[in-house]
Amino acid sequence: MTDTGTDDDLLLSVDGLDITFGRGRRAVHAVRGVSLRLRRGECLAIVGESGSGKSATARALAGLAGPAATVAARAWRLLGRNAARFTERDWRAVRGRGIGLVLQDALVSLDPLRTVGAEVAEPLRVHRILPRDRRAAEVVRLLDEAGVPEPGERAAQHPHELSGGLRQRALIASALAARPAVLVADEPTTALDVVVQDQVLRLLGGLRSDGLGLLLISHDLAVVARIADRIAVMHDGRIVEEGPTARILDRPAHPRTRALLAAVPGPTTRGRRLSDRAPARTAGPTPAEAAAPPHPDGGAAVLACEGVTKVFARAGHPARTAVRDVSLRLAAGEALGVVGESGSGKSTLALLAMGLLPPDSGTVTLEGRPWSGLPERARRPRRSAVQLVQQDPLGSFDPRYPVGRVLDEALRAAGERDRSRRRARAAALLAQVGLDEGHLRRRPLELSGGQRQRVAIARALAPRPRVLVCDEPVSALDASVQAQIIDLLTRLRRELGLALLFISHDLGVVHHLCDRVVVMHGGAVVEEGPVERVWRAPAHPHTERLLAAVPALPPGSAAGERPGPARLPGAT
Amino acid sequence: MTPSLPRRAARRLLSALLVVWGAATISFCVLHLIPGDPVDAVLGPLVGASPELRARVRAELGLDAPLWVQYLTALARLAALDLGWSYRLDRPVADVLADQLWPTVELAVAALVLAVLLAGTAALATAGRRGLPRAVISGAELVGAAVPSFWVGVVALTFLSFRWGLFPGPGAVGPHALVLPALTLAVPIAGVLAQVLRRELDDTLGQPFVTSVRARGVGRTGVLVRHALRHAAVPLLTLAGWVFAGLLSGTVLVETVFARPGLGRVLVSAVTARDIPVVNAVVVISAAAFVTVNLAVDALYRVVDPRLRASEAP
Amino acid sequence: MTTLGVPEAALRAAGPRWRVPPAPVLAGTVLLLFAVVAARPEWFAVHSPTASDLGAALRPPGPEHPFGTDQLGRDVFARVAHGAWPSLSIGVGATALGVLLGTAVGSVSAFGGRLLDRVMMRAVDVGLAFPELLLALIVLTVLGPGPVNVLVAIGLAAAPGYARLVRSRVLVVRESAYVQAAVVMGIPRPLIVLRHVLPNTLGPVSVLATISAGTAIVLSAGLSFLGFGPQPPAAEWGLMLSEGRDHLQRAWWIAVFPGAAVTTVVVAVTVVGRWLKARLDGGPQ
Repeated sequence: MTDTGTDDDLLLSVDGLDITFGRGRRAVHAVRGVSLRLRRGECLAIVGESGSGKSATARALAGLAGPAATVAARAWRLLGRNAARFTERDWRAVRGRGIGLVLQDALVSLDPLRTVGAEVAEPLRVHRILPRDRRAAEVVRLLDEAGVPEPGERAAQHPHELSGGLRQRALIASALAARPAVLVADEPTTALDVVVQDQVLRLLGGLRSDGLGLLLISHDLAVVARIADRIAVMHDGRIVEEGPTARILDRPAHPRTRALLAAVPGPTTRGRRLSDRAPARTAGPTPAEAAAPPHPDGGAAVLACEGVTKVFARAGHPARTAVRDVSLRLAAGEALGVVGESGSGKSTLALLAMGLLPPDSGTVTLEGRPWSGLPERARRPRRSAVQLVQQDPLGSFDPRYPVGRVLDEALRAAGERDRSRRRARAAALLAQVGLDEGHLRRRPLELSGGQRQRVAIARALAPRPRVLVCDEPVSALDASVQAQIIDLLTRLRRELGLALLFISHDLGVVHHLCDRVVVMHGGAVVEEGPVERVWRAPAHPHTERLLAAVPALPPGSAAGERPGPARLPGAT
Repeated sequence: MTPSLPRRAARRLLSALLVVWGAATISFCVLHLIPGDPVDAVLGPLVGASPELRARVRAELGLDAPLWVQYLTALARLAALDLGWSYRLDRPVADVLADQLWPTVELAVAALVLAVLLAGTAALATAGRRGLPRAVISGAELVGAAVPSFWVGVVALTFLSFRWGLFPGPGAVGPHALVLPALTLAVPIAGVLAQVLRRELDDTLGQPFVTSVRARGVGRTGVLVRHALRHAAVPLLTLAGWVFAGLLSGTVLVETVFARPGLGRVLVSAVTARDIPVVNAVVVISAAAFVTVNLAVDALYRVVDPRLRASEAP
Repeated sequence: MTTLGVPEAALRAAGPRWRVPPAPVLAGTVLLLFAVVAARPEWFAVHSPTASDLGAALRPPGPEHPFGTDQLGRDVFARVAHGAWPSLSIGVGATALGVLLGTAVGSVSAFGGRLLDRVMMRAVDVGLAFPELLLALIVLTVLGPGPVNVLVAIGLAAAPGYARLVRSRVLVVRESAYVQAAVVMGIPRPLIVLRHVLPNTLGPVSVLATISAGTAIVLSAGLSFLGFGPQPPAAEWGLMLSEGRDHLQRAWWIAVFPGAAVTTVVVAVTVVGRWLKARLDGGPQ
């Protein structure tokens, strides 16, 4: 690491930062020997998966690691002062004024009970920058500067009355109110949809020209690639690689960096494994994996919706049409993606397809026979044909049941009467999803998110279904785990000839996994077609708008040979 | 998306009235559930009530009329705020209660203030902290919440009053005599309030926005007073009904322990002597007071939490 | 994403899985001890709880009478020991009655269709509009005094709370993802209710019952204190407190020891109940 700028330009430097949570034998060494430099007008991004220690680092740099944490550093200078010696009183004077912090979701990062104006004005009050009577005008100016339209009215509103993007801007305005020299932004755009994410990123990027030092924390390489000057990749509490953005994207040296780049599903990843990929530069399908997914046999649809509409009505509320006149056909062995933002009706569609909700009009047919409009008793014997994988795997298990009992129940429901045969099949199902017999006795709570989803998939496979409906099965998971589950679904589809109705807000995932895609907006299908075509040439403005704002890895980077949308960020 | 404010207010009011109506129905049932002649029930175990008196009661309550007519008559009387006549005390029930209302309200208000002060101090001093002081205070709260108030009264009388003579004994009057009863009544309520308040403060301190607030340079006291306290107020409001109930039932016992006049003692002696008109009046009045408290709390929620003002949409 | 900035690994490694902290263990031991005393008071008390000895009246605690003697010369320790059964059984029995009634009403309300649900929940609202003590007093007005009547009164007074909890739990569990998963498997409705809905409803109910048993014990002591429970010369803690009240100036021990017994039991019940609740809320950790 060579120091090129003058000492005056160095806003923040830390050497050998160590953070430990807890004490004694239970202590967890979350951050080990992290060293960082941040200069005036520079943006440094720290990228890593959750649990890599990046958030703990961000908070510790603002003196907010929390009471359970022990923070130590060989040397630590903040704005020319020795931060290693700061008392709580020193920190209080520096926070807000010298170093600002912007957190993930402004809905929970702004006090929900106070007005936006009061929140933005707080640093002005605490640091006695302005007398009370002049704060209101300054708040309006700050909000305006952060790109909040009608700042006067917004200041009088509460956080929940603002859209996600405006909230995030207000949060940035409050962090900047006392003019700090350093701004630490911890996943500032993760909770935002792609269009707004783009705007907020531009706002943050623009702040650097005023000389602000920006430390950006994210799990998403594609996001930080757009504004960061340098990137530091964190894994397991250490910085495993650091360098200029272009170099990191172009010539990643560390396996973790390559894994992060590769785990982004996108235009060039179809037909190849996302997880545990061979080193970069051998990108492109490996022969064994490149086998195209089975193509629809063109025969009769296994699952079809004809003009399905569902309206939710509640006393005292206007009726809401969740699904409006939707028709779709899922052929045997086909993978059909349903994409849309939250609230677009895609989850309701899943429930209708599963026969868990009766449609108000239209029909659902399964294997050519009516599926909707039947009494549950008539549906029950045919339920084995279509199974469901839900978004929240933990919630989908009876909290009292260990894995073995979960599978046993499913197998018994599928008609397997013999107990020892059930036990054997449960073990076989676990093997099929990449778990071993040892997991039978574990409780879902003791499993990781990925393992839970594997168990949920195993359970869905128990009755040997022909159709698997997946409702956002990976959206609650980390990128690398997400990649593993997607690989698992791809493999199962190939091995078992399953038809897949895959519901997601993530176009990248759908593009990776599906043959055809249906785009939903406001309860209706706005676009439908082969996934390649929709990806390359979206026909509907809504699809286009979504695609246009998706952050992408620049051309030539290890994961993206061609420019193209990478993925929609996880909005949960 | 949401029903308009007047409509919602009307709905709340209607459900409040339903509760009061239910209470009136219960009190009507009580009279007729007691085995034997309702006249005996109303008169209580008055030995040798004259036939004239019995006839008068029978006529007043319309006991010869069909049951549903009696029921409607009873409701109509209540609607006209006619609480009936206590034959045991030979006075209108309204007068009996009016006499005893003030001492009880005085006691309840004093206890409430004391409980809030005790709980607030304990919770603010220990929220977000660890160590011995917190452990001691939460232990004290646990015992405070569990201890029967009448026993607190007995112990307080034994030591503070009889042993050390700091406070007057049972039956005394004046502001000095209010201290021990109010304290006795406050202890169990303060114990629970402090526990809930601290848990809420701790929860709030763990929320992400607190990190934002602290990142602006606000100190611990500032976070607690300017931010966390208001958040903790929401769940505390939920407890208002419980606190009210605690005060009401607490007065019944505390007034007996300290031989103070008040509604509680009137109720106990009315239940003991089966003075049905008095019991019924207390039942209906306390139900009415309870729904009033809940209506007020409901309105306060909206003041404290702006999110509830905006919408209750799904 | 860990919002507190604590890595997930730190949370997972937060401790060995099955270690009961010392407080619930101590509280459980105390409860066990009281249960033994309630069942076999003669193992602990040498004196008779009712034999009066006017010559030995109002003796302070000492080697012969560890808790002293009352105004009639009865051994207070023996009376506290023998009072355990009536004092505790009323509270526990009342809780059982409340749970039974409440569960019945709550399940009928949750499963019985909209109209029935509305009517029953209105009735429950009315019940919840009264402090339990007042509700119990209303019942006692009808039934008259006596230990069994106190039990019934407290049980009836507690039932609306359980009914409300059971109903809301059933509604939550019925909409849960795991019940949905069971429907998808093709498991018949009654079987789902039996296997998933009821067991997951009764967990929270039993926790509430444990915590509320403490309240019920205090309530029963309070009603006895007011003279509605067992009648003299019976040994019952609330009644003893009431009798001791007349002699506070000369003999604090008559009232203080039975009250301390109530407090100890209720604190222990609360500690155990909270531990159960924490376990239920936080899963096996």
